[in-house]
Amino acid sequence: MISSNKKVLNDNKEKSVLVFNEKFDTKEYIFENFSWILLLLISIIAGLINPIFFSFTNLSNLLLHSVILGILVLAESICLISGHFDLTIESNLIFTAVIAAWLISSSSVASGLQLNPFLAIIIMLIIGMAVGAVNGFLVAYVGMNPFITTLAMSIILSGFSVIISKGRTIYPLPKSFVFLGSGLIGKIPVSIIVLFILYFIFYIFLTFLPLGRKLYAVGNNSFAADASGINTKLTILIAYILSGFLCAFAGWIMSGRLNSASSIMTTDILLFAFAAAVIGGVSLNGGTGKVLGVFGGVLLLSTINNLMNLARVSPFIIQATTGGIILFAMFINTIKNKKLF
Amino acid sequence: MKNNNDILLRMKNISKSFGSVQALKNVDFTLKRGEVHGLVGENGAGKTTLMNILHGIEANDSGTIQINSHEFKQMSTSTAKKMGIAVIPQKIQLFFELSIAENLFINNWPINKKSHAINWSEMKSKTREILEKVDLNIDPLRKVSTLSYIEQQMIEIAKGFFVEKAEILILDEPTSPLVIHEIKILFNLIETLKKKGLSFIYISHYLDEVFKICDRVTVLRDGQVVSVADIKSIDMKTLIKMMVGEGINIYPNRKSNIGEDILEVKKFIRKPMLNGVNFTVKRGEILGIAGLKGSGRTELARSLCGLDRYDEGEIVYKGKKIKINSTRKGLDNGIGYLTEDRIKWGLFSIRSVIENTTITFLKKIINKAGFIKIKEEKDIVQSYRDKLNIKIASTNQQVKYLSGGNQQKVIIAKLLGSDLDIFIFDEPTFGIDVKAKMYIHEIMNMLVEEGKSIILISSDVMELVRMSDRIIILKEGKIQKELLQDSINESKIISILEGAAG
Repeated sequence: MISSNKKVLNDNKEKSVLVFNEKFDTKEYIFENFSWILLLLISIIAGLINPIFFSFTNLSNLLLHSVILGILVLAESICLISGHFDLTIESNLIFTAVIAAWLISSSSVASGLQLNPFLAIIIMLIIGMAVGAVNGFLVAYVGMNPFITTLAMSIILSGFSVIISKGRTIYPLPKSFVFLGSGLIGKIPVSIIVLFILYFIFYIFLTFLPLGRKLYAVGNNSFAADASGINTKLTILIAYILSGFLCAFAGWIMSGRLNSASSIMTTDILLFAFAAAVIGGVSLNGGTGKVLGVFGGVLLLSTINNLMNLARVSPFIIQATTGGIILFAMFINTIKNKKLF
Repeated sequence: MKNNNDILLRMKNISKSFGSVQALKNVDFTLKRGEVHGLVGENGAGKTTLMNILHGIEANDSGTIQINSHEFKQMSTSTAKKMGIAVIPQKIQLFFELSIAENLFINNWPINKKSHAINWSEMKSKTREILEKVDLNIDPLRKVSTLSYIEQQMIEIAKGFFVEKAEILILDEPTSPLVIHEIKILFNLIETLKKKGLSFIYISHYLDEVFKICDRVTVLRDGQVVSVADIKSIDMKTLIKMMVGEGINIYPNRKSNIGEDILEVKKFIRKPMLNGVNFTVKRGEILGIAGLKGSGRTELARSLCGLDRYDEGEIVYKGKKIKINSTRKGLDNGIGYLTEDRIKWGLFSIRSVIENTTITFLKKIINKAGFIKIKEEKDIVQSYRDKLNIKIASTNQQVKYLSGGNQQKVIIAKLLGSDLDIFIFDEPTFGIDVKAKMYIHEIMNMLVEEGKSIILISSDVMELVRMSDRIIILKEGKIQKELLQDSINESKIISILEGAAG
């Protein structure tokens, strides 16, 4: 057979490409669904070792702990698909949550305004989107480097979160506000349902809406996107705004779950969000990534965490193991791109 | 120039196959001392493979290579170097952040015997000597990145001949990034070095250059030598015929169906490349634009379709004045651009054929709620696949796996879907093989027969002559001359372009 990089005579070129591709598809399939295949394997082993793993309480718990990571991964993936980094996701979550808590809480640390919770929710979502808009403007229209820009932005937001909360934890929060984060419908936590709904919406968005298509196109090749009648800059701006919206949404859920907000309410989620996105098949170079794969990446990381919790492994070992999994996923991803096999 | 007929290199009976594909079949190639030998042929004819075998990147299956009196069954890169073969690749491979002197003597530093440090003064003076030999008068310590492309190229040549002591230099498409006066400088240098007894193998798509600089030419087609000829004994037509073969007519006939004016461009200015261009395009017409690199032809195309802004000028389209300030506007008005560089400006390499095709007209295939109608989308792409004869395994295939010709067709399909009236084709057949070329020309004919108009920009004068109904010749951002169909001929265009050079 003719190998792909040694096709020389053009008459035979097309034929050889076809052969090459038919063979390639199964591999491509495995790579694309890598996160789910690994998840399945780990779950089966987990269930065999410890039957508690498949109990309703544990699964519900596992999903509950996937919610915040899940939403932030979605936010990150939208930007990554369009070919850009967003390092503000976690600090944006904290910033918007702190602002909302400051506006509505009866705590002495808060503003004392005790604003209507619904108004506060709208304000926090708008602020989240505004942060995204500033990122998007600086990156797409001014042309600043996305890595540095969003890093600086995230430091600014973290600073303001401390200033606003005075370094303290703002609590309690009104019942109507915390319902999304800590409420139950029957036995199922509301936030899990919200997570599924969000993933469904973004699946539809990326697959069936022209804007979703344009995100992939811009991320794959912004020059060709320009030449194809796409407003490249606007598309990138929208990606950042959507990302900001999702971060604020996650901030709402997180502060609801904790019934409080503080400048250190989450830690280390940013890097896990990157990891889950990459494990789920999102390329750091832009242009690829599917919602379903990303969801698999999130569940995989949560499952590993959950399993080791069940086994009462030290948290430090959990952290190290998660790092190992991320490295392994990157390894697979790189091999896939290089087509070593 | 001791003995001009002295054969320096003789490749004999070279064969090479990749799997079941025979890339080269009993190829003979000889190079005399002090000769510039053109190697021409269509893409895929085997030029690159032959040269790779010569400098040891690929191994021949059979045949021998004889250099001076040494005979080799196969070359390795190190023997090739030892035997004095150097390659100037299309992409400059110098260390851009280092000085000229460091580039020349990298890995071969003049060392001060006492201190074992690099002897900079010796390196400088040696560099100056070498630069003199290629007529370059620049500071040896200048950073390579501050030099122009031609200067970098000359340093590569100097390095090959005077540092690595090569006797044979392979030039692979040396002129593609050069503008006309730089080409002259390069050719002068080649002439000078040739007189010193150094030899060149010259690979180029630009046949007029081959006629200008080469002494002999070897024509390859489908991995076989069609002819080895003294350049003085043949003409352009014969050469093209030898390259393409008799069997295929890459310029199929069409029924002329020219209608009224559809586009009028007036006093079009984009500084500094375009200085007041006026022309019209008629319905059902192919308007050729001839011009050298740097004449403003690509800038004209990019401004017309909205990819770049223009400073001044008026576009009258179907009797209405319009302003095109984005590609979206261009496409909505019915003007689309097939770019010169399809990889960079045309393709979403890791996305599917479907997504690549429909990206320009997504709003035509959405339902009332704004969702893409996936089934209908697939059918549309399928219909273009049939119409343009796009050879793919499935419409979900990533376009990076397609051949150049098929990639080009996908981009054409993308434009077709936008219901264009005017197609701007910039080098539509650059870098694709003969059959695909024919297909693209057939598609162009089909389009104009349907009443669409095409603005064709091409470096291939033959293509312009055979495809265009009318040709305008662009020089320094202005229209130099307009040729109507009955007065179009190749030598006339070439002579006008040449005139532009001088």
